[in-house]
Amino acid sequence: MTSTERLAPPTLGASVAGASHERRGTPCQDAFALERPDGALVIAVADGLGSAPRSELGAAAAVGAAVDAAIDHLDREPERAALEGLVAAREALERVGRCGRIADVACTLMVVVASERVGIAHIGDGAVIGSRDGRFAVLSPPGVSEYVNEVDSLAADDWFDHVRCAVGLDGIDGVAAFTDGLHHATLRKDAGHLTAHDGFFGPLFSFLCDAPDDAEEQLMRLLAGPKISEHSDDDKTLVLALLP
Amino acid sequence: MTLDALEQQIEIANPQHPHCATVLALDTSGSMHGDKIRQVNEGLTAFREDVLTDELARKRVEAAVVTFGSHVDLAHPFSSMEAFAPPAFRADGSTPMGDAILKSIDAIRARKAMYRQSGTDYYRPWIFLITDGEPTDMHPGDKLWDQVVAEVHGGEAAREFCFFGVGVDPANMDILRRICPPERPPVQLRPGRFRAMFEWLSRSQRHISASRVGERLALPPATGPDGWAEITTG
Repeated sequence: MTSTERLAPPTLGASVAGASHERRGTPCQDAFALERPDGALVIAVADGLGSAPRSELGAAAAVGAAVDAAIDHLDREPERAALEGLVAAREALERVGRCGRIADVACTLMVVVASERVGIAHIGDGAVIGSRDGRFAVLSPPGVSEYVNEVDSLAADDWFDHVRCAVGLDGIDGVAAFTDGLHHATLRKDAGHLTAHDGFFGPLFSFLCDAPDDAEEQLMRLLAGPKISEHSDDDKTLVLALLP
Repeated sequence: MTLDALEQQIEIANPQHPHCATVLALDTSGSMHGDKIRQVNEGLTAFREDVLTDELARKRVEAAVVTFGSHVDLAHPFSSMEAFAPPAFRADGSTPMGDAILKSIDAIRARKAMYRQSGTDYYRPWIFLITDGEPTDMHPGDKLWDQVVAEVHGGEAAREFCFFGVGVDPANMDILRRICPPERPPVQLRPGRFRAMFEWLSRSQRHISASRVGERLALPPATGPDGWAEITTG
């Protein structure tokens, strides 16, 4: 490991529009933000709901507000800082949605804060996984809903009832957060039990550790490529990070 | 590492599409004889063809058919649209609608259990009932009636399925309204608009199979000047 890498462990993130969005001419409604303040790591990933006409604005506002607020609260426990990020994102949606309705900018949101440990605040689907010594585990699963197209949103009246907070296990050396367009690629359901798929994350974390200069572009092409798009025409966002 | 190598190396965890299941509960009693049953048969073919034109929906939509006439029959078990080939139905017999509704609900429950067991994601299933009469196997207040109404209203309220009732003239709309869930009253088919109704059904299924909702899903309009349905009040 070189000294630069020690100072800044690698991170990588990309959002791509799904085929259905391209067909309908709607923009990519996912958004993410990633910051590395003072040896910590803050990630926010949002997925604008297809049923909300301007959800791309909501997703973009949510991730910006969430990361800023989480950084402001880095003196707290990481899960608390993540929750503050989520609360700030809700306030941002209220501002963005004021002219129309907040439901018009509805989105999901995951906020991941890694400082002395990993803390997560999460509403809706998508998931956060952690890596430890080359093995992968689900840290925050998608919210439970019987039907695949129904999801809790940060814009709902009862949004706070659906917020989930999680704390990572000790020894986590990397995290990944992704939107529901990647559920099929990343998560396995074995007898109702959800697990992170080693066969997906193993190669990606190896890629991250040895990332080429155009890694971000390669990740975008992978997400839009045939292997991943075959079973999902939804927008896809993936953020990968090794922990400080 | 090159992109191609990376794409080759990753494994997809769960390479299957979520499924979207509909039971068509069709009245094949004697009164459907002639033009009506012919239009139902043609409508089923058009429904299949229309879903197949949609690249995503064709991998996600599944349908089954329950008929009620001379007897109640799971005339076509759940299948993909590619394998959907219901026989041409003939109309005869009475209208055992109560048993047909229970059979449709059973089919939905069995399908969901199969999805859960195989780890397949799914959308909220539909029961789409078409009748031109009134049930002959149950009457308001008898045991089967109470059971059917409780199952339909309870299943809709618990979001187990969506129940749609369509009356074809001269259906008893008052009875149909008492069977259908209060949150989704039945509609009456405009004369001869079977084809438009099946087009709406396939359009709705295509819409759902590409949807993601926070609150409510907006379906294509069924009523209105170009629609196939009329809302009757009573």
